[in-house]
Amino acid sequence: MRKEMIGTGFGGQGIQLMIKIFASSLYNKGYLATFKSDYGPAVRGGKSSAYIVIKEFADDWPEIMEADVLIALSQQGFDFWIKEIKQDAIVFYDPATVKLGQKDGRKYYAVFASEIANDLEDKRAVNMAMLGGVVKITKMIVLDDIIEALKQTRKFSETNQKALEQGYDRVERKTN
Amino acid sequence: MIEININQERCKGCDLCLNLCPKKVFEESDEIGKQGFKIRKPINFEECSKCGLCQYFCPEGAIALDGKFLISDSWEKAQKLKEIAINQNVSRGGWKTIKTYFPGNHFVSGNIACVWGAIDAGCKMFAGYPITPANEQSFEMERLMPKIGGIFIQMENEDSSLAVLCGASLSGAKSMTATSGPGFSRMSENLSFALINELPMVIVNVQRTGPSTGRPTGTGSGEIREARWSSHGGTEHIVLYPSTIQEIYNSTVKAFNLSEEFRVPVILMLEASNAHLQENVEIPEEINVFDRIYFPGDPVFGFEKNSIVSSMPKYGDGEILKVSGLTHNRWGVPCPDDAQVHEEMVEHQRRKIICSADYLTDIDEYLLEDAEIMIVACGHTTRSIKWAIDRAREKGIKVGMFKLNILYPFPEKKIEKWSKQAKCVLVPEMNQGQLFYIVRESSCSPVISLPQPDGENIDPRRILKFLERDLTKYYRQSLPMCFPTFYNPLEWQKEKEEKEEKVFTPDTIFCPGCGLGILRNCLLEAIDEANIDFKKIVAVSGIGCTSRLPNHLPFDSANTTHGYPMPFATGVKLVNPDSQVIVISGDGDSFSIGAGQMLHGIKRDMPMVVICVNNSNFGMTGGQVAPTTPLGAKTSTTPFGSRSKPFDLIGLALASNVKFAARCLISKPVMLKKVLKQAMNTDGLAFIEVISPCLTYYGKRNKLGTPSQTYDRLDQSYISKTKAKKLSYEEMKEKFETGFPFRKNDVEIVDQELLHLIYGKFSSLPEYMSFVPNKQKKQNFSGEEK
Repeated sequence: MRKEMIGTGFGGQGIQLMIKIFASSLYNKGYLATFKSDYGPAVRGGKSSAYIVIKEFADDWPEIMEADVLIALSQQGFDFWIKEIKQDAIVFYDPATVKLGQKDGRKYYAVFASEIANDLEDKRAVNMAMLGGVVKITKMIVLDDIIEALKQTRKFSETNQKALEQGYDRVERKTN
Repeated sequence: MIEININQERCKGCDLCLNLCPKKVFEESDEIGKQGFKIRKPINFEECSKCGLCQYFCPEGAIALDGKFLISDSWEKAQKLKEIAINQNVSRGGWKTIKTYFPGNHFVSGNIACVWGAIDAGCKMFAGYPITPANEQSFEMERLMPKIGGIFIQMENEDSSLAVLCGASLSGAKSMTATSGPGFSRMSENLSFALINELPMVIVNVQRTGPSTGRPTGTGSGEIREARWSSHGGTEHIVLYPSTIQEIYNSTVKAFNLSEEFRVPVILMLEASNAHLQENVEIPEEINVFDRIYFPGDPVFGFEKNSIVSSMPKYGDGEILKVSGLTHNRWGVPCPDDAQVHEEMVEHQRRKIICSADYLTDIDEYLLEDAEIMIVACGHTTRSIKWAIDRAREKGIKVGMFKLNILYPFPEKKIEKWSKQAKCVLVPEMNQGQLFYIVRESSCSPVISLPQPDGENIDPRRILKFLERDLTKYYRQSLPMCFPTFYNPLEWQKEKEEKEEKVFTPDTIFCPGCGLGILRNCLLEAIDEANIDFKKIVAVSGIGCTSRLPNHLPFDSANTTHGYPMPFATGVKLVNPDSQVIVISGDGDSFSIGAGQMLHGIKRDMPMVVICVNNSNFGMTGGQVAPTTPLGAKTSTTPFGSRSKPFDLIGLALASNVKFAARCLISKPVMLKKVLKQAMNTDGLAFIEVISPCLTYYGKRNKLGTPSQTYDRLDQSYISKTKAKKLSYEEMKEKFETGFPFRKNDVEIVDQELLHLIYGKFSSLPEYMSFVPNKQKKQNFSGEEK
């Protein structure tokens, strides 16, 4: 089954790393994943996005057409992508930075990433907290896969692990 | 008593021997020589003090003292060394199986896959310049190259990167560069040099959205036509166009193999979309790679009737490898006046590719057997098309894809075959329609272009929609096509008489009395005295009068493109650190078009000798104003006098932190020889400015007189460092004003023996500055006139 995911936020929030880690753990688990990130001035501030496509077969179209999953960490990115994704898509958002719009058929999940990061006294942990929530709901991989992928990139720290675990616990289904 | 002979066949009648001999041994006789003027004869043998100055001053090396010519010794020595080398060297090259560095499955981007492919294929040299979206290749190369004993260098611009590759390739290293649209356009001059000299190398072009800077982060395929036609003069080369990440890896290995096999630059076309896409790539444990063929003593450039690709020696093999951007025969001897040689040369270069077109055809045919609509595409777009074809087939649309993996040579026959079956041909591409025109040339059915030049991938749904809804609008009557047949231009050449092949001789192309001949005498003597192995020497030059000098020297040489001798020399030196590189360049070559490259070359401070021959104008092209033309001097483009001050070349070199800088006069050859000898023993880079006025253009326009008069003036106009110390500012001012036209408004710096040497990076700089008779500086540093 073809799946498309978009992660979006401000440049500097760690969107690229979050999606890249997610993509590599999916790849390690045997999914036919591809990863691509925005490239350009946007990643140094402003809207930054990264994409995962899980292909149906090896030669499938590897780029985004209509996303099944949106992970939003900023209002700007959320507003931009919410129009482009599928009607029954799953949307993960951080209630501290994103306000939902009108009611539609999509499933909204709030991950309290900013709160978790504040508790851990490290703002950089926002992306990992978010990822913890995403992993729980999508059920494609387990948290240990993420930690294993993190360890390969030398970005691994205890704070990151804690953030992942807390994010995994603090996900709520929301209706707008 | 000494025996003096003059080789009358070489003598050009410059009269330097007559006038510059301190004892006046030579005289003009009434006999008319073969060259058509009165021959010079040594008369007063009794007077001769055997100083040997006449030998140094004879630009053609035509004077023999006691039966010995100055340059002939070097020539004979070089020929003997060549014979020994040919007997000792063993042939090398061919296919071999090697292990890869990263076997197994990996999740990497296209850029990384490309670098890994290059490293597995044996790439040992990467030169690049930062440009989006090819940057990741530089990062990865920088990380990996030291681990495998290769070289990574970031150059001052893209043109220089390609010049470095030329030097590295001739030194025996497989080399590669990666760039993007604007950089690729800059490279076309040096690409042409690589093509005429058949140098194997791989150029990766990660395409972005043009024209100009355009959308630097967008994708595109706007260089489909440029990749084929980017070099001037038009020769054939190979262009690969991979699509998936796996194909990028495989194509990079293939690109290196083809470039070595055919001795041709191969261009690998990536797109920003697949260069940044991360996907699975499976790397085998072993791959087959090809190394260039070398047979000792074989012709270097292939005009042999039976061979497709000729033997390729490298610098240091001892074969006196001559490389030139000029038309050259099979031994590398420049013959720009010979039309027949040129035709044979370009025809060989074209033929070796187009005769192998079947071998070089690499296409994928997807559902073409019963296709009514044939889609022709290459690169990332093919994946989009495949998605659309699968959906369209479900709906009963008979559509198939013709995927190009090798873009050039273009598979015309295959296109012809499949397009006959189809009703129409569709060409979707990420530009305004380039592949469309190429397909149309060989298609038998109407061709429809589906361009999308916005810098985004073509959405598969767009193609599907087009197939379902819009295509029928574009059907039109099929036109009869005819294909041109190529006439073999060499056939009528066979009817011509066979000419004698030009061989490598000491005869020069320079004007009578030209200082370049004197420089050659000094250089050969200096090399002889410094006892440097001829095998190690590589002489590199750019374009211009000066740049023809390496062609007249008896060791490995290269006559590169305009302004790029320094990057080329860098490439040679990096790959082969033992070599003694001598850069011989003119003032226009090194400080007009190549100013940036020269200064960066000096900054890199690699041990080599850089000789900049300052002739105050552009001699080869008719005496135009140069960056070194003195204020007020007349040239063909400044008939009322130059309006700007000239560059101070030594000053520029010093500002670039050169360790050894010297200014010499061509009228003092013995001193020049000493300086050259000293320069060859320097640790870092040695920069020598040689003042050698152009007698033909600059001399005539500024009424400098005969060669000997000019050299006399030269001696008078320049003042030594010690003499300058004794004179007051006012006196020196007068001195230099009378010294027109070699006067610059500032003082020339030459020491007691007409040279100025500076060791150490900064310590001598203020001292040098102190001799500039700028009023303020004089007061500041000498403290005399306050």
